Amino acid sequence: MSERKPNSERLSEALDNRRPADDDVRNELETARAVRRAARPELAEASVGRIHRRALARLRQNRRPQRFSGGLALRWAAALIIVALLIAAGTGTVAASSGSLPGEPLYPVKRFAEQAQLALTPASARPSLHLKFAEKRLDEIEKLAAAGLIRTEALDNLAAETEALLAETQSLPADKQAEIYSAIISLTEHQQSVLERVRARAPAAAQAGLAHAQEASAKGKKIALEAIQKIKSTPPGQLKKTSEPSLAAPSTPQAASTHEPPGKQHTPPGQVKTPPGQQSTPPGKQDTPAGQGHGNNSGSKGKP
Amino acid sequence: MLYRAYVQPIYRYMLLRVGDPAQAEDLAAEVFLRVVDGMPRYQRRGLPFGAWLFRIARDRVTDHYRRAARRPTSRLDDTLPADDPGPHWSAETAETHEELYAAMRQLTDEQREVIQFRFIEEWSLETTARAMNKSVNAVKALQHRALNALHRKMKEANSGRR
Repeated sequence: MSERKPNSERLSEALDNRRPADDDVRNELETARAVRRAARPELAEASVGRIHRRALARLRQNRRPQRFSGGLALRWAAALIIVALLIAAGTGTVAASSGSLPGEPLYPVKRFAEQAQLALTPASARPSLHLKFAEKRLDEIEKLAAAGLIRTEALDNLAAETEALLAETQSLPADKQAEIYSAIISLTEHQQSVLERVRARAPAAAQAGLAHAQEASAKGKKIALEAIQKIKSTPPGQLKKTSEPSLAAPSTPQAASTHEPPGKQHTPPGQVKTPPGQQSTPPGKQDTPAGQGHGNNSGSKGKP
Repeated sequence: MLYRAYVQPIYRYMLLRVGDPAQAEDLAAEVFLRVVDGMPRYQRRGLPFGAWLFRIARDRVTDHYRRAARRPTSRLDDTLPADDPGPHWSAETAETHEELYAAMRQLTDEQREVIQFRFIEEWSLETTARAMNKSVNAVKALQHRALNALHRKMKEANSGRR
């Protein structure tokens, strides 16, 4: 005689239509279905952006004192970590990681080395470094696409690097800003042409993520263009650092939609959905092999 | 990154607690500002991020009601413009949604949370367990009680209308 499954399991199976509902889970099933059927209210995109800008502004505000008090100590700590890494692993691991791609075991080592490099770089030189890293992120997307993969992590990294670049540029003196903003315009144009090329061959399931990455890149370009115009139109004696964060939360296809039917929810690749517990690859956001779409993500699937 | 993953669940969490979309937005914003302020402390603790985030959200709601008891509520400085459409929901689903949320507001905090995480956000048992800082078995038991309690509340609401 087979063992009777627990209530929660029988409920999940009935919810996913994998089995008929037993009498003792019928009420639960009916209620769970009613909850799933009901609308999922979402914050308007403008509100999402507004909260994001406030959080970014607070983040910058919180970081400022560290540059004077703990900045030096942090840099020394980072330098010591690098030395320890080099001694412990030889130059082999770090060097071997330089060609790694998102999703590969050595990729976190590569990113860590970059972060350490950033920590050791004076603020005035950080935008140039971010520019270099943003180019690397684009190169990674191209290499993955050549291998038939679109990884959401890679698309997110590109947007984050461009965002960091714009944020760091704002803290430069205005005359230096113009130079970096020009480079950002070229960079984002290149990003868009590469993303367009990748998108032309990408499967349907990766389209939304790529479109989102293109949109974020276009926003970056727009910000850089506007900043340059502002700098040009300001008399030289009045040039000063900009202070307001300017890159709003990228618009997500999901946030724009109101509600998807239960059992048909689908996280478009490119959307960031890091789950509770800090998992790095949310279900519904797995790598998309070229030529394959996402399966229907129904039931209790650990969505975020 | 984390912001984009959690902003809508946190907003819905607040909406379930306070009922008013504008207040829910303000409270969601407060949560993320607290997250930014508390990030250095969080890194030293090791609680799952989701659990930490929703703990902040619970504290914000408690503070909100405490403030409301002392004086009339006021919105944060960054208010919604008058023409802001607020949360998106369609007219035909609004009634069902509002009835459901009203019934859910009568549940205990934990029951409401488990229903939101499991059936609105559609998180797995494991993800829900992490967000609630509970074991999977505890979440299963809580889900069972919560669904039955909600079923009763909805039934009561339906019979009250007739």
